[in-house]
Amino acid sequence: MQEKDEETISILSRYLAQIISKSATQDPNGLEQALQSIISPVIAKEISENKEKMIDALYPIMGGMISKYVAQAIKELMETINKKIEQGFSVERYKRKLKAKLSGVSETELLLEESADAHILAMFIIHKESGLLISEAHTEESNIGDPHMVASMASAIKDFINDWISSNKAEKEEVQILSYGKDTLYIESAGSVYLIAFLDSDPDYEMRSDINDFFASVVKRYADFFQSFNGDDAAKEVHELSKKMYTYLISHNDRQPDGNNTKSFNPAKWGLILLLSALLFYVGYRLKIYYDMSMLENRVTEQTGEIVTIQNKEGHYILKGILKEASHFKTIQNILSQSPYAKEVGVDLSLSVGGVEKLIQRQKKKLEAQKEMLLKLDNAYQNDLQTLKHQIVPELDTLKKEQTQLKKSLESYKNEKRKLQQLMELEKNLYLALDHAFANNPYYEKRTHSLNFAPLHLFEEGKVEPIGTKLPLVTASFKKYLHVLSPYKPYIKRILILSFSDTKGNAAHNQLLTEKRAKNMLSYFLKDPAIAHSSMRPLIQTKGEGEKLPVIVNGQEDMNASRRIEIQFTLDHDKINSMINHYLEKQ
Amino acid sequence: MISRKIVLIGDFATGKTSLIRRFVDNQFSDTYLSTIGVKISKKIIQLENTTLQGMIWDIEGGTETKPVNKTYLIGAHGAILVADGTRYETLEHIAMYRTLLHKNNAKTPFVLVINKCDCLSDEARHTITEKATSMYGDVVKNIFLTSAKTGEGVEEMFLTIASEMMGP
Repeated sequence: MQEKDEETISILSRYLAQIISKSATQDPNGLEQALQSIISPVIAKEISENKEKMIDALYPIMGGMISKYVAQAIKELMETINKKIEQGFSVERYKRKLKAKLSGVSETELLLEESADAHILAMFIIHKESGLLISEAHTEESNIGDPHMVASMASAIKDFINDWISSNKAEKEEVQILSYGKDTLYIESAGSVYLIAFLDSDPDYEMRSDINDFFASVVKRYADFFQSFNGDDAAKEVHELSKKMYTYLISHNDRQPDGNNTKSFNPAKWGLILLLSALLFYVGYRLKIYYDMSMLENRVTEQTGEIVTIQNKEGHYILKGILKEASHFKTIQNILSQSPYAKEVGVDLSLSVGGVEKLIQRQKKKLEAQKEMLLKLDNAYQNDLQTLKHQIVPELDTLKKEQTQLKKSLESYKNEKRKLQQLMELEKNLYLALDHAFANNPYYEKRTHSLNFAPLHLFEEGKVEPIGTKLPLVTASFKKYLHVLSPYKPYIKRILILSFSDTKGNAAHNQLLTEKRAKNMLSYFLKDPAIAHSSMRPLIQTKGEGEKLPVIVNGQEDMNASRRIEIQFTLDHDKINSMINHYLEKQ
Repeated sequence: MISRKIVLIGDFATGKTSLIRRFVDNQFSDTYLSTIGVKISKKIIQLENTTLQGMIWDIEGGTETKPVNKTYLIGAHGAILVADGTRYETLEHIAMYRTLLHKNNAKTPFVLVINKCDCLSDEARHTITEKATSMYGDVVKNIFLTSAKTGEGVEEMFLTIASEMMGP
């Protein structure tokens, strides 16, 4: 059986090659379909069941192909990195170096990261034949200029390159990437339009695929519009396209690591940014203070000519300097007080030796001037004082005299008034004094204010001598009477010692008898020194009244009582009245 | 606004760039300006009923050894074929440019311009106009004598091609 099979195979093999060769010439499509339906499942099965075997078998072919694509990709990557490295002295290089140091990520890794950071700045859809712009969208950062002009120029350049490529190669190929400096134009054609994406660096494979997907979706949707495009940019499709492209490029850029919206929140990055911001703010703040302090120093120098410095000592600012002129202390204080740093800046200023000498000299001069002025003032004062003295003293003397005079007048007036008062009340006061002094004296007669010794029976009948035992009582009363009258002496005309007799006997005899008795009585009184030397003595007079006024009791004369002594006084009414009139006239 | 692509073709140094400068910027430079490749200019053209944005492609003048890049002609809505009035051969070459133009744009309207007419006498003007008419009268409606230097016929020529591009 096995031998038969081998024979059959041998025969078929001989003809199979001829059959296949003939079919390939006459009906290539039919042969392709026939073989595909058989070979494909067989290969699939073989790969599935004998993977390692198949890999070994295919590696020489596939490995070379894969290596080719990988090498191409690496080449493109290296070109990008080389471009970055070429920016050796650019700001970006130093930024990258700083970023690497701060973040701990190597510069190479950052370079690799940057190589994939292409951003789309603008997108144009251009009519392929005419090069007219159909629609466009661009970011705010792009600096495209007139989009219509750019579209036409880009179209012309693309056509030129395509034309050049076509003339040098058998296959028709189209330019896809145009680069100038950092900028790159990625061009993709489809149907009657092509799309140009303006990028800030070369797009990687993933990005190109993304753009192509977007472009494919646009072409699919607007194919009819593109084919019938008549150059009218007022068509609604133009605006729709513009909006779509704008949305796409914004969302695309946001997805990029350097886009405005990062995918994830990086606390270290933000911490670093905050730290740097704070540092920057602090440095700015310090610089501002440094600048302000310098300005303050300059202002002091401008206004005073003094050189001062503001130093920071343990967070406190001190304005230091040695001044040539003492008056500048005040000026500097004024400048400081007007500055916004009045409270923050302390002052530590001293005066130079020259300045001190100047100050002393100036103070000396000032003192001398003041002294001189004081002397002048003193002289003027003395002169004024003398003048005033000359003017005032006489007036003062006059005034004093007048005052004394007035005082005297007043006193005199008061005196006179008092005297007048006394005079007017003299009689009444005298009587009151007598009444008071002799209130308990039985010989005092209140009605007449006199002393009447009738009850004492002082004389015996026919006798001129008083009864001796009774005399002391009479003398005491008389002495007291004189004493009470003495203050009124000037106004008393006389004090009379009156003697009365009884009616018995001869009236003339009785008259003589009474005169003698009165005189004897006075003689007796004068034996008392107090009476004899009394100021009232000159006023004392005696008088015999005879039998004129006998004492009658119950219709009969009391003879013993009629022989009696009475003592009375008489006021000098003329004098009193005259004086009253005198004072009244003065008033 | 409607945009249209206008191409200027003609032999080297026939004054195409100067014509565009005169039209676009209304200025003229006596310095001869040679075009390299293509230069794009833009002009807003106000017609009777509409406004047109003309994207004017100033295409490098052709020479015997270096023909005009035909790729630039594709998609043109209008064309200005420029000959130098002082060089008769440039008028003869117009036929070749027309063929090139219509190879891919069969219906593209065009005008024939005989430039540098300021250098021509009245008689020379008459002669060259007659020659142009006899050569191209059956294919072109409008033949203009222009001078980029003086501005003669420039504005009219551009307005005419703009109107023709917009159709009846």
